Amino acid sequence: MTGVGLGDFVVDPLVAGLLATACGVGVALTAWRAGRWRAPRIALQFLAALALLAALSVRDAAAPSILVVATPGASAAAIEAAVAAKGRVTIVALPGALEAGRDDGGVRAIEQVPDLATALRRLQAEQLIVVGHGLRAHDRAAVGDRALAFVPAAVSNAPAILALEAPATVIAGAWWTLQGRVQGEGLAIVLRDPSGAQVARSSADSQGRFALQAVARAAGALDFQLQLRRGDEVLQSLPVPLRAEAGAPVRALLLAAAPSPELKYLRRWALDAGVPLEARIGLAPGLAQRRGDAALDAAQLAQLDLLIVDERSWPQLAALQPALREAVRDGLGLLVRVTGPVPATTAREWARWGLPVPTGAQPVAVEVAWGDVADGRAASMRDGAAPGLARADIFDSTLPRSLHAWPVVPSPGEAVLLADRAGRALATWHAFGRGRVGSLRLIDTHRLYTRGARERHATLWASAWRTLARARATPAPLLPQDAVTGERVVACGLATEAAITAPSGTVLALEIVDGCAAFWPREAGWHRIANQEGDTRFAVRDPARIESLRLQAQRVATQALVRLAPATPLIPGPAWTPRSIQPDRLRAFWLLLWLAAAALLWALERRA
Amino acid sequence: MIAPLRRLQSAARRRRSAQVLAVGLPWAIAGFAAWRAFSPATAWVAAVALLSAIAWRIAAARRGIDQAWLVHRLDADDRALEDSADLLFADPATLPAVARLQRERVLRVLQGRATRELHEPWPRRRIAWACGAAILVLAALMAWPLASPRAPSPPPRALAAPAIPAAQALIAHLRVVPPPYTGLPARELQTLSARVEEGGTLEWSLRFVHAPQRARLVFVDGQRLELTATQGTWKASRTLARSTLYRVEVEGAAPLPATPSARLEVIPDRAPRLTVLQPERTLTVATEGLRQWAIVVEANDDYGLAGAQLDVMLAQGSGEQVTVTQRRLALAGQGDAKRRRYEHRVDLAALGFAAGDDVIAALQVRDNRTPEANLARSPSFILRWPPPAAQEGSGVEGLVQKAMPAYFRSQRQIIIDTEALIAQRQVLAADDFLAKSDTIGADQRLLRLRYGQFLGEESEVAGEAHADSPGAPPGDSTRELMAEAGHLHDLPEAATLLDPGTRALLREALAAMWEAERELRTGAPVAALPHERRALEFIKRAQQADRIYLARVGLDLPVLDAARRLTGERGVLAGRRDPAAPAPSARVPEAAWTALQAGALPDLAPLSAWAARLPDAAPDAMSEVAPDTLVATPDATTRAALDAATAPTSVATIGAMTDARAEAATASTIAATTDATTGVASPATVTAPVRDPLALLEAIDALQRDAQCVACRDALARALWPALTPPAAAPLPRAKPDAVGEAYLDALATPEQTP
Repeated sequence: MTGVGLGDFVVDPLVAGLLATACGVGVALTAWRAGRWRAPRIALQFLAALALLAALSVRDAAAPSILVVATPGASAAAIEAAVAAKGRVTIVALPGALEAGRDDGGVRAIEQVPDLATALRRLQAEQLIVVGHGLRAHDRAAVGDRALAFVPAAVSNAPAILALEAPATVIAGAWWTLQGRVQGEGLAIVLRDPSGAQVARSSADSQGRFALQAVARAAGALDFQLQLRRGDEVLQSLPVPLRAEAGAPVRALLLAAAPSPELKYLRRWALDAGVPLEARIGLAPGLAQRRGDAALDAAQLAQLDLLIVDERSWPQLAALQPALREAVRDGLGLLVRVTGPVPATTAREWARWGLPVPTGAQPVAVEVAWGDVADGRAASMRDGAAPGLARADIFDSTLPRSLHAWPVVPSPGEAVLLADRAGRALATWHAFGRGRVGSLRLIDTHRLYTRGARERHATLWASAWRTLARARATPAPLLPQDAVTGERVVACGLATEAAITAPSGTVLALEIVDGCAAFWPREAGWHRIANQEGDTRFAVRDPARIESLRLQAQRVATQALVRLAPATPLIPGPAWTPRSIQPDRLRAFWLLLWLAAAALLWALERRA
Repeated sequence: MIAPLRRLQSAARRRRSAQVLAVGLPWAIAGFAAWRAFSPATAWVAAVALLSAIAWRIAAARRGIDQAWLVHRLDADDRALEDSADLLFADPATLPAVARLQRERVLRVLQGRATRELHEPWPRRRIAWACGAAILVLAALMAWPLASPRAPSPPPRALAAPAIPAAQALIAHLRVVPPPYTGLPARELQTLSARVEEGGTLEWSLRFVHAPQRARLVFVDGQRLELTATQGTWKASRTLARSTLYRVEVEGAAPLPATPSARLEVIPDRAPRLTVLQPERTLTVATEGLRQWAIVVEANDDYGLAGAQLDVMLAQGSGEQVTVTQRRLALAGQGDAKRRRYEHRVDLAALGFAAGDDVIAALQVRDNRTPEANLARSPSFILRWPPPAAQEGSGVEGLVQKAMPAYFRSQRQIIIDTEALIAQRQVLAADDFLAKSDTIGADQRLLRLRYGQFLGEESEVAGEAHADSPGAPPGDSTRELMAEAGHLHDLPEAATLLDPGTRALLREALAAMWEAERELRTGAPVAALPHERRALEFIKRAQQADRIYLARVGLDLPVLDAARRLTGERGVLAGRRDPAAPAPSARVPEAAWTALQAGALPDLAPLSAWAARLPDAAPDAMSEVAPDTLVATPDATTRAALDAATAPTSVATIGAMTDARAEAATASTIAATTDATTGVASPATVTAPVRDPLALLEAIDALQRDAQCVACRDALARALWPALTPPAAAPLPRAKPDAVGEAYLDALATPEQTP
């Protein structure tokens, strides 16, 4: 319905319907009653209705309109610069913006809006220019597919921790890694445990990245602290809340061709961790030492969570291959330990399983990169890390690093569980139906244990088992990760009834819709969600204490929206030249037309 | 003539205004007061509304007094005007003649009356009503309980203040007298908390603001110390051996304000620290022409060193013919009391050192602590003159085993130690006696485990330590020795080398050792002695029953059971019990932590008992650890930690070398390996020492006094954290995928993965 020079129209069906009805009634009455000039009167009815419809439907903006959104940190100068773009520009300010610069005489009339969605509902903007520190999460959700430009506020140069990547859940007794990025020179980053003692200290590399590791000594809700220091002066102190969980038993069967210290310490770990590990360790041809009474058959495989095999005991499974495939497809985990050269037949079978085949006649010395073993997410997360945050390796000379592994031909599509410092994968896995198949080429992890790094040994094996073993835990509630006071948090995966207990003891019943519930925390600290499954806890932080992190995250997330938005040019040149007829004039034109038609109609009716 | 009338009119207007004001104002005040009482924030709205209402009333009233009113009033007041007052305001020119005459008449009448008052009388009754009502409203408001704001009223306590005595307070005066041997002067403190040298005396002099009838010091372990008053000063004194917390309690006077307990921290007297400068290694291989062997040790102590003794042992002979001679020399040393350097050159020629002999030297240094000196022992250093290479006969290669000393005590030495301990029983404190007995028990355990290896029992003597850390190669011959010593037990055949008779003898010996160890561990060395002797006897018989040249005897294999052979039946064979046991879980601090995390109150009694046993942290405990130097400081902290951790290997390596060559020869010769899958002991868990045991005690104490205190629970959790032993990490289970997730995984499966 676009006419050149007559404006763009957006027809509201309701208005059109009403007008059509009125027009129909008018025409019918005219036709019914006797009188003169019937035909012109009927024609005039139509003309008046059409003119009125056009007057009501002329759209405001002939071209995409721009909304300049001032967010906290936006300076008057930045807004003026954004406004300097040609065309119709409306400026709105989100809460917290312009509070400092309000007395600045240069600032135009700026409307305060509670959030971006409100502004967009009221002002039909198609393009946004965000000025300041960026949009908060709920405002980012309102952007939709609108084109967005971001003019970030100037960042202060004061030393600060800009990004932090810490696991929300760690395994009690295992090492976990904390990574982040700082701004500033000559700074030290110190991790303090819940008792306030320093457990790790690091300095940032040339790009400001750092990584720290610590062991969670016990299961529970732990409050670590990260400090940014220069000398003895503490510049910043961030809370790092962690939930440490005790692991759960996994039913595993170990098949090995010969006893070795590796197996001895693997069994020791399994015993200490409370993991039932049945074993068949060959002593001589036809003679095996057994722990547990596992019979190797299809029924037993269906019961197991994890099967650990080495290349020499693989032929034992020859008759079981179809059953093993079936079991792995149904969720069984299979871990293949490479402890020596692989015979050709076994290598062919491994290739069918998608397992990498070892090469070479000798194990090679490798330097394990511990930064990646620390939590279950492992090195496969490397590319999924937050923008601007690369994984830093942990180098601590006291750590035993030098182990031995069989070199392998890497197979494509494998996720890396553990790598060495040169980037070679030492343990990998891939999905096989619903189960997972992994291979471990390290042959002497027991050296970790005997050199005193017992937790490293346990962390390595716990992480491998966790990745590979059958997934059989009921899904835990999906708890908010970065909850802060005063912002809406959502917990999902809840049962029919759940309540949240705040640190002060206030209990709040949750209204659950589709398994999810939202609430606004008021206090910082550990909140407890009581559910049918039991209690789980999540941390709520005081936004003031992690201000630098939040600002940086906002900036990064808003910048990401710029990339995500459609590639329409933000400030199109010709489309922005004012048209010959402005929407207001168009509306007036159509209204006058309607008035004339109506007046003529009235006059004719009087005479008729 | 009109002007005076106008004046009358304005006077009447003023009066009317005053009347409205007089009636309205009391109502307005009452209304304002009531409004303000219930809604102070909007009181100004009420004020404006009421005032405008009055103003509007006044304006209306003034409008009512117009010309018509004036005419009416004039006519009504004076009959003489004959209802013609309105003529006064008319223009005379327009009036008819009669009316003009009448107007003049009225004017004359009016001029005859000198002054007139047209305004109305005060409405006394209505004013009285209004005032009365306003007073009633105000009175009601004052009596209204909610209405009056409480804040400005002065606190009532101020009035009652003289009745209650002021808060109790005390002036503390603490005198710390370090033990005399430290040579430190006494010092005066004005606080209740103090740091005291171990064994130092504390003298309290307290003065209370309100003199109590009785006062005492209550320590955190439940001990009480009554204070005695002399001239208003309450005094007590006590010698302090361990750090503790205490509170001052008074009777018969106002109690002291609740404050955290005062801390008394004990600075423990460290044992002397030894740094061995020479020799550089524990095992030195003697070369031809060596006349003297230098031993140089530097010792330092925090308060002063007392004496040093050098034990020199010469072990001669080989195999079972080893004779040991021991000498003890007192060394003087050079330097001051706190730091001394001991130097001694062992004259080898005078000792009679010859090829195949060992000289073993160890230094022990005491400090001047009283009543019991701290003793530090250096590791034992061995000087070995290797025997000439054995000529092995043909056909017996690999069967001749070199005899190597093992660095643990022999059964004979254990018996000697036990007898010495029994002799010392009268002079030793009960705790020390138990500790020493326990140490001998640990030695006994090591020996039992060593022999147990030959019978395929659980092995806890770590072979890994020497196998995996060769360090710098000290020399070719030494490295060979090391290599031989390190891997003897890796011979797989060794387990079958013993004939049944010897095995039975060794089993008897092990059983006796078990008994002996139990008695020793429970502090009953007298009861242990017979078992120890029995074990020695069995070992000696086993030694005599077995020879080194095993091949000449031949293997005595069991006769094959032809009926069972090649049937594959294993029915008779029973699986052995798995000797590996899981690590002990849930010690006292872990149990308390778990309870705290679950939001429950932990069991405080065992927790406080455990906390009270924690050793006092040395002030610079963490910085003293120097693993690379050959330093042995078996001071209280490390010894307790090691004992608690049952870490036999470290004790064994730190402990002195003994003359166990005879038994060790047997042990090493028949060294066997155990099944690699079974023989790992549960790890020695040496937890980091609790840095501040007092803070832990304080947190427990606070929670004992107020079980509901949330902050106290957090404080206790924080204090417990360093004492927790990390559990072995168990894998967290992955969440089962839902229907969509399973469908996704199925769809991802490659053709190779589908059936």
